[in-house]
Amino acid sequence: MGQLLNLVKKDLAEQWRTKKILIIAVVLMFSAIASPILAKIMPEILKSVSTQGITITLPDPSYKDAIDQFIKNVSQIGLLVLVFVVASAMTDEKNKRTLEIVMTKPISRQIFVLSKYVAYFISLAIIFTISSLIFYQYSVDIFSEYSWNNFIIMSKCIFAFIIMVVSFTIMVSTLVKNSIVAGGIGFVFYLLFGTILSMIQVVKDYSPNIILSNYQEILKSGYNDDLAKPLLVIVLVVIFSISISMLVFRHQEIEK
Amino acid sequence: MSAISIKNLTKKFRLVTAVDNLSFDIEENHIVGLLGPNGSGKTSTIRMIVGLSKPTRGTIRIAGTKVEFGQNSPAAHKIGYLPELPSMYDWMSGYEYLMFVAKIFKLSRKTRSLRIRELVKLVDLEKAIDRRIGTYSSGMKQRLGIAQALINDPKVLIMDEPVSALDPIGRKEVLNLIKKLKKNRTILLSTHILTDVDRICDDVIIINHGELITASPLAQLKAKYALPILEVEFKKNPRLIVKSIKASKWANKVTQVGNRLRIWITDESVIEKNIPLKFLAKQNIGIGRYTICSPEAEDIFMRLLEKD
Repeated sequence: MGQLLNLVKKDLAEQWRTKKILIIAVVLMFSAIASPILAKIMPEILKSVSTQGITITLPDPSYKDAIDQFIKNVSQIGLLVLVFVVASAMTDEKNKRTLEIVMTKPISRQIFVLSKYVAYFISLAIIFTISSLIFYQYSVDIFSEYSWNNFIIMSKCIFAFIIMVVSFTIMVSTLVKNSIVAGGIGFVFYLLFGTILSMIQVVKDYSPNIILSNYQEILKSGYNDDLAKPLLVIVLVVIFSISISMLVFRHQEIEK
Repeated sequence: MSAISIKNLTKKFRLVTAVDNLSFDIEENHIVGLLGPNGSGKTSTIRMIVGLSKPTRGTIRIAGTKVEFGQNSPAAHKIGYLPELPSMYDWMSGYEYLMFVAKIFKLSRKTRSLRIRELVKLVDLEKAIDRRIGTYSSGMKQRLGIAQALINDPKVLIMDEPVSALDPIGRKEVLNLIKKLKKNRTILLSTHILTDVDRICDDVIIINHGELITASPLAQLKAKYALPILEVEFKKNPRLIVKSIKASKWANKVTQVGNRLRIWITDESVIEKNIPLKFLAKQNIGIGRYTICSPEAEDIFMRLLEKD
């Protein structure tokens, strides 16, 4: 436990000082602040660009439009940035050859990899929680009050989806040496689990994408049974990714 | 008990055998130079000893404890390791890095501070210890690398080409530091700078093509290969007499640098009989200096590799 704590502290400090976490924070905070504002002014913008003879009529925007924007921003730009930042979690240690000294110390290789996951989970939990709170406050101020409890459930589900993509990307970062390759594979995985699976009839119900598309139902009535299967898939992917990382890194030669 | 004991160590990379059935023992409290030409298997051997690379076959023991690849091996408590170009976290300060390593060894808070203060003084980094490692020069990184390798006060210190990337001043500083560390510690260092071996090593292990050529105390090797070398400086270029010296029975090998010849003698008795001096005097090109030298590590190294 002491070893894990020492490594997690190191990883958190690294994320902060190398400004990796700042990039993710800026993107998520921007999504939280900009989404309600964009939802509010979008009808005005469309109205102003209406050409002569064509009138675009949109219903009055509501908090649902703001949430729609927020989820789109987080799951598209947010996750894209996140995948490429997280992709360097292990590849940087290999390419900068910092492993060469650390791995000769009495340190468990499994714990070393695990610390990468724990540190990113902690950072993302903090950033995502703050972003969600900012978003909730903004959307309530701009539009109207809506269920706080259901919003929290929805946020937790989105966070679970983010953790799944991050876990898979860290696993790839353990397997390969190049950050861009790790990020690319992580992004393909996101596309697969974020969209493609939901198009295949037999596995549709298990697609983690349901988490992102089911938000209106969650906001209306909280947790529902449709979420159980995708959440199970997410938990399995996270466990699989961590286990494979630990197993592979334990047998990996530290190259010069 | 040997400080380092290696038995039948082999490392294969697909088609290449980097280390081939290598066995040797290193006694406690000795400084040992691991020598060999480029690609001889020095670094592969060292990386297996410190647990970074998995042996294809064979065993490694550090002060009796077996090195286990990929596991939190107890042998790691007995080793300090300095790679050729030590890469540490650039964003940390020197102090933070030493603290991070000290925590890995679970040193108590009090021991940590004391040890770090001691080591920082030893490697002369007091003024720079709070600076980011990214701002350090190569020499400073090397010294910080030595400090981190010593944080657990290891019985065995392993260094891979510790001075090869340094300028002459940095090299001198680090070599002096290594000499200081000799007390109560075994040091294995790989190097291709043979004058450094002469300066600091007690024993040498020479390998080539991954195989052991010899493992012996340096003094014993020098005694074994103690045939003297003549260094003769002429007033004119001795190019024309090189052939005739080579043809004479008493000369084994001749090399020329400018007006100077280095002549490896076949038998010590020829010097007592003044045979080379008489021969050279007859050549009428004027002898400026005539010196009899003892062989250095480099000469022994070259002879052994030639034999191999």
